Amino acid sequence: LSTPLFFDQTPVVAWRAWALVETGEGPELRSVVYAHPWPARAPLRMACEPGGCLGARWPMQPHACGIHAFKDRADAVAFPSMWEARRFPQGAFPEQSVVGQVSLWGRIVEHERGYRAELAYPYALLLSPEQGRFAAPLAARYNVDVLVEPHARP
Amino acid sequence: LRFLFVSTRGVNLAEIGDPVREIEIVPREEPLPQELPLPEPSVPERELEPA
Repeated sequence: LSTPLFFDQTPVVAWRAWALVETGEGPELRSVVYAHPWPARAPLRMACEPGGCLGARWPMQPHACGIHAFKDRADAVAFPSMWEARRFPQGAFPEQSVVGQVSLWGRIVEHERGYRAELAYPYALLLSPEQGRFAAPLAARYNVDVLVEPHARP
Repeated sequence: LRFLFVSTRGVNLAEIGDPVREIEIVPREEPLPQELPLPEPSVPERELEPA
């Protein structure tokens, strides 16, 4: 973050996946579902999506909005392909994704297997060997640890 | 166009399950003294050395 934040409580650290998109300014993290770009060195703040709120006040249900993250890494790893399979039942997934940890703060709703948060920023990213060329530019852009795992799936 | 054929309503909540509790984690307005960066020395160290 360009402006340091100071906490008395440690932010929640959870797992999530991002779509990895190459732009003119280098690789960029985007939300898997809504394709929102994740800003570099500034927190991402949740925004309600049309049709997702059903008239409720955030974060009360039936609100589904918020920055989503999982408690288990396996759920984050599985999510992009599961989502892509819904969007493209015939296959041909167009995006590649990365998995990592994310810091969550502000108002947070803890769910059974994950969280919905008001604010978030990547904490660390885990790349597959095939994605290794993105490690340095992602680390420079987001100022986070980026690890290339020998056995990770792209 | 992403959502022309796919409704996202409720999909994500199914992935993370039912809500358990709500918490709030808010950063402080000001850092504690030990979290402040060290000030730059006003006089260069060389000028303090005896001639």
